[in-house]
Amino acid sequence: MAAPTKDKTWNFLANNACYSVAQTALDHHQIVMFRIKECWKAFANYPWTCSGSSNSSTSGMDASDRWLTSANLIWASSGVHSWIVLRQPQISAQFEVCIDLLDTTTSRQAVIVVSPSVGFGVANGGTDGSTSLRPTATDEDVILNKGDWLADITSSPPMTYVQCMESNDGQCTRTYMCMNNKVVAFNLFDVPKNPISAWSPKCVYAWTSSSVSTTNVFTYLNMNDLAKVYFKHSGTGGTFYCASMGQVDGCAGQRIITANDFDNEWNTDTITLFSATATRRGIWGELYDLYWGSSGLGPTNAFEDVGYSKWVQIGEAVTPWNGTLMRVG
Amino acid sequence: MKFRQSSLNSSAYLATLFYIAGAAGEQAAGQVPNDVTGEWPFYGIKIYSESIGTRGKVGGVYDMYYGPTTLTNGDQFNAAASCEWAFLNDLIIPWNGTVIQTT
Repeated sequence: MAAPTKDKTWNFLANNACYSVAQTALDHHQIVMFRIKECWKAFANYPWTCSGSSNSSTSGMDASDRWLTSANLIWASSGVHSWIVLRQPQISAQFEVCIDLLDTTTSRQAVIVVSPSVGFGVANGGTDGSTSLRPTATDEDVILNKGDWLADITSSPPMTYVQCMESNDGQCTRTYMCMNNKVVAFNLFDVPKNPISAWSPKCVYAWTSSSVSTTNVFTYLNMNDLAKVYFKHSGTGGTFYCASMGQVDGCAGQRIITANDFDNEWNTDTITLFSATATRRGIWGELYDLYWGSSGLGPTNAFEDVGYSKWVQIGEAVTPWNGTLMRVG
Repeated sequence: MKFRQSSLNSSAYLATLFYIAGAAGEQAAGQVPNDVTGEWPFYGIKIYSESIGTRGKVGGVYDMYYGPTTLTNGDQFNAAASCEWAFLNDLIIPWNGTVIQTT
């Protein structure tokens, strides 16, 4: 099969190298999370904007970004800590993500909360939070609750590369976090492709990580066997499986781990959003420009489209890329 | 299904939408109408071969879908007017608007 035709044009902030000079897990996590935030705010067409933040000393839903350096990212299991709310109105008018640096035991954990349509803060019917509490939204959806936002690193953090991409209409933002030659974590905040018409608001979001730093996260086992893409409809939330074409007992990309014998091209398959959540069952749409690939390929395998690396393998999925070599560790 | 590539006889699967290692139409959540639209699912079909020499995605099929396996032979779907699609042996096929006789 020839490489897929892209639905969208993508802007990349690629190969952001994050290296912990201090060689501690906390320093590493501060640098990586800070880089993600900086990238989202730096997209050329529709950059994300800050609706409010806490650096553990001061806070406010006042559009002030208090994460001025990575040192401003303070994790805690309770009490004073850092958080930030970022907005992307191209997904829905008041689509916001709150990154709350609240953990159980380690700074690789965080709370990630999405407001798909209302927005956080008193101005939107929620609360503004404080240096000890994140702000709330009336439609909030907690997609990570002191869960791993990045793979486990106990010591000697490796070079980590943050790969950020946004469609030039601002409707899709994706971040891949890479180390040890693996794509160990990713997030996605998207408008879906071909959604059912009644769906409101039409947006999907995910932030998931491998538990260890040597395993890919976007795999059939993690994203097809488990429902890890979140959504809401009319106030009720659900989760999607990233469904794919399959036969016998597995997806086609799991069972056919060679290039197509006819044309020597690798197969790709559409990612279909399928919900098994009660009252939300069925097919709801697809993802733009993200495909299931073959288990027979590893990370950074590039697909030659017009030039070099127009598509690249991330785990067992295939994403558009910018023509450079994707750094994964 | 069988097909021929050059001088090689081969076979292929009629693949369909999968999650958790099973076809959607065979799983509980895929055997009911969409909870929001109220419409029964028509699961698309692609042709995949695993036979050496013809491995990979071969193509698709026209106007044939997998349906939920809980449906009964002869169940019909009203598209524009009546009975434009019918369910037979896990497949949904075009029909001619009449009541399909299965016995």
